[in-house]
Amino acid sequence: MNITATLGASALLTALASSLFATGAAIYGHRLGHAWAVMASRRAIIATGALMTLALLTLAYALLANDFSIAHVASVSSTNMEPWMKWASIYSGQPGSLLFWTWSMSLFMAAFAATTLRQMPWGAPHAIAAMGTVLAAFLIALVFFASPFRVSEVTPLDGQGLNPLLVDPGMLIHPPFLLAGLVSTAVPFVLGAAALMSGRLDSAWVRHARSWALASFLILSVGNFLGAWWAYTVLGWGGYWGWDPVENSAILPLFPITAFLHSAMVQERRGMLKGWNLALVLSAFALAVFGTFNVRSGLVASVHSFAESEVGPYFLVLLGIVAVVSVALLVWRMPLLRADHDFDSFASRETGLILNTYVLIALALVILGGTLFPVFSELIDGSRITVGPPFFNDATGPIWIAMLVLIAFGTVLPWRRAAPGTLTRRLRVPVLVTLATVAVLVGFGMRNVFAIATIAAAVLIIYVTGREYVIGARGARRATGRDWLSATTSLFERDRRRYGGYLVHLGVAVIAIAVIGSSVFQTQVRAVVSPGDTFEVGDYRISYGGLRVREPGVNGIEQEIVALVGVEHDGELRASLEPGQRFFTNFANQPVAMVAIDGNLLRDVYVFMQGFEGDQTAEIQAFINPLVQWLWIGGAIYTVGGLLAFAPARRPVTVRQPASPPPGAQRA
Amino acid sequence: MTGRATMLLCAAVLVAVAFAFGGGASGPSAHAQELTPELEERQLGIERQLLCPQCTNKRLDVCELAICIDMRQQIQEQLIQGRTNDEIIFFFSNRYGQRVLAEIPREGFNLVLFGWVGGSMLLVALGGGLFLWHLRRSGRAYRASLAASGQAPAGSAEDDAWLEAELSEEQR
Repeated sequence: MNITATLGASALLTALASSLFATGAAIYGHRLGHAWAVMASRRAIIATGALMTLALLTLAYALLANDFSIAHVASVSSTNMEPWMKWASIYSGQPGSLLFWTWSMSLFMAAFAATTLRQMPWGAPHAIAAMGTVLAAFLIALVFFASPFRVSEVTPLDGQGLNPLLVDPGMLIHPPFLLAGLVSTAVPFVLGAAALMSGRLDSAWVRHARSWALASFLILSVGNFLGAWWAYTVLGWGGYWGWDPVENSAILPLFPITAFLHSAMVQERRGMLKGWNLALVLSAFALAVFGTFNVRSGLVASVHSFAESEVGPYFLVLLGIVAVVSVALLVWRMPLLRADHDFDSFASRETGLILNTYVLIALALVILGGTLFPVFSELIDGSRITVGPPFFNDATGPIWIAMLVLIAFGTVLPWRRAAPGTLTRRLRVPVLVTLATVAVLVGFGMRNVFAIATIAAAVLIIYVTGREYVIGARGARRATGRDWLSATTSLFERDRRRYGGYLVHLGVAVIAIAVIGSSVFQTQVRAVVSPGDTFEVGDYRISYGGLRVREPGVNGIEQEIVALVGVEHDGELRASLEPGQRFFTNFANQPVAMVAIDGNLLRDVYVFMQGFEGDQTAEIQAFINPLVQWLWIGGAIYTVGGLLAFAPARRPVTVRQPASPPPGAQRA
Repeated sequence: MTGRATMLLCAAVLVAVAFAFGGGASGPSAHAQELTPELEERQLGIERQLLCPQCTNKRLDVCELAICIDMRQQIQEQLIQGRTNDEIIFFFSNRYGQRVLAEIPREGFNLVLFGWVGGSMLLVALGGGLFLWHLRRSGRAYRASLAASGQAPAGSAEDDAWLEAELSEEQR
């Protein structure tokens, strides 16, 4: 008997029992009014998190101990892998990633049970029952269909090793963020489901869900940024976002979560959009389950691989249940969702926020359609097609621009109602700034309408957001006599949610400019060179000095063949790069590109070696990617803004202690 | 070890590696005939419109699989033969199916996808517009009912005070 495998499998089975117990005890406690049963069910959720942690640690031990009798360990690790790289082995492959998914989810739920759940007696049993059911659904898949502790009949002498594409330090952080981001949508889902089940449909659940949704938004965003960075530095195609089905699955839940963060403000302040907010959190989790189902079943790659997948059909059923239950709950509670709409005018920030949620949902619908279309094409028409970047760029481009414009105008518009004079006054300068930006871009010879519109909209965001900071800081200076820097800092102390959110908008604008710069104005040159040859890409000269062989001897890498490349500008050597190819012992037909980049704030010289011959001839591809580093800077601004917005909103002194509850609460 | 010996060893290792990994699977495209800069540019343009038949969404110009190296060589040969870009792309679409086309053809069943995009836009625009219109109409009715009963909108005094402070025209 393999003790490690038995311990891991037992932990999973006990976790399943614990989650089922949580559901049962919560329902029993609620029905019969036994508080002790509800308390026991809450503890069972925390215990499930602990048991899942035990299962994960057991798998980590098996990987470190090279226990190749466990099938998953043998398929994703090998004896010559460095211990730190085995962290990536935990979540590679189907059973491992499902274990990591469920473990992350159990931790989020345990944290929720230990904190927020104590503050919401109105819906605690309902939330626990929802959590227990969701955890049990994933644990059933882990225990019965894709156990990471399945023992092989024959123990191999060595393992297969990690998939070559995953042998990269970026893999140590990118997948955990992405998986955690996807599963974190479960908490807002649970809150929404609890609100629907309990019938407590005022803003209480929204106030709790906001922080969790913000966490989800942040983690998922960082996961996607890290994914883009990994794709750029490892995959060797000169870009960072390829509209791959897996990428699309990872970004899809971000749209409803972002929409919720904005429309939650409208419900909190104005008591509107109750049903809409619930639909957003429910659909975010449904899309996260869809993402897991899509990635794990291989559905989009091929219908045939889906049919062969063990967990694919199970997750399809699970996705169907999540969707049907969500819609049924919404329909059931529809009478309670009707509210008095204190909506004054179309010319208001409420309208801006609502329109922005529409745009985000339109993006989600288009991307979902494009991602799933190959499946329908194969099933109905019998033809295998690819929906590639040109479709997604063309179909989503105008929607992205609309989103940027709405971000800017949403910031400018006041809450409730803008008087015609106010509207004109507030829009005059931003419109002039936009027109001036367009004129400058056209004057500099830019003719790409999409690029001009995107940059102009991004500049508009930067202007209106900057103006918000300047106005706020000026007010703080007048009131306190502080200098500009501390006055600006004080804005974040006063209202982190608002000014943190503005920082996220600034990050989005910077990212938009970087995306246009690096994609529309990319230069690509390919050359077959012998030692001593040079070729030009843009204003740069690439010199080739020959090949070099390296033998790292770890992580399954047999050899690295690198090209010695110089990057020259104006006759000066700017950088010496070593792009190459990496060959793996157990994956002979899967060489992996080794990308080399000489980057600065204006452009990246991005070089990779596409092929080589024994006579030292090499095929080199070089790209000039303008402004790409601003993508990472924009991502950092976005992340910092999101972190700052995490803190609870602090209102000005005048209403810090209101005589009566906020309007939304009163009408609920 | 002398530089010459090192070079010889490297060359030997490289040949061995090239042999071990499929004898040219990682090799550069055969450039039997040099292309003019114009043809090279056209070749790259065609490759960017085609995808690797064995990968998911990987463009031909950046794929290092043997089948893609072979496809790139065929493009080069067909360019030298004087074929147009469309003819070459059609050749590969015919051979491997539409899945190698980076841009989905706007014809046949594929039009359903474009219909989905249009339908989504229409749904969001119409549904969203109707919802906003409903909000304004019910907002007016709500205010009218409050006015009839002599009440102020619930909580609006605090809310407005806060909004005034936040968005005071003086600050602007």
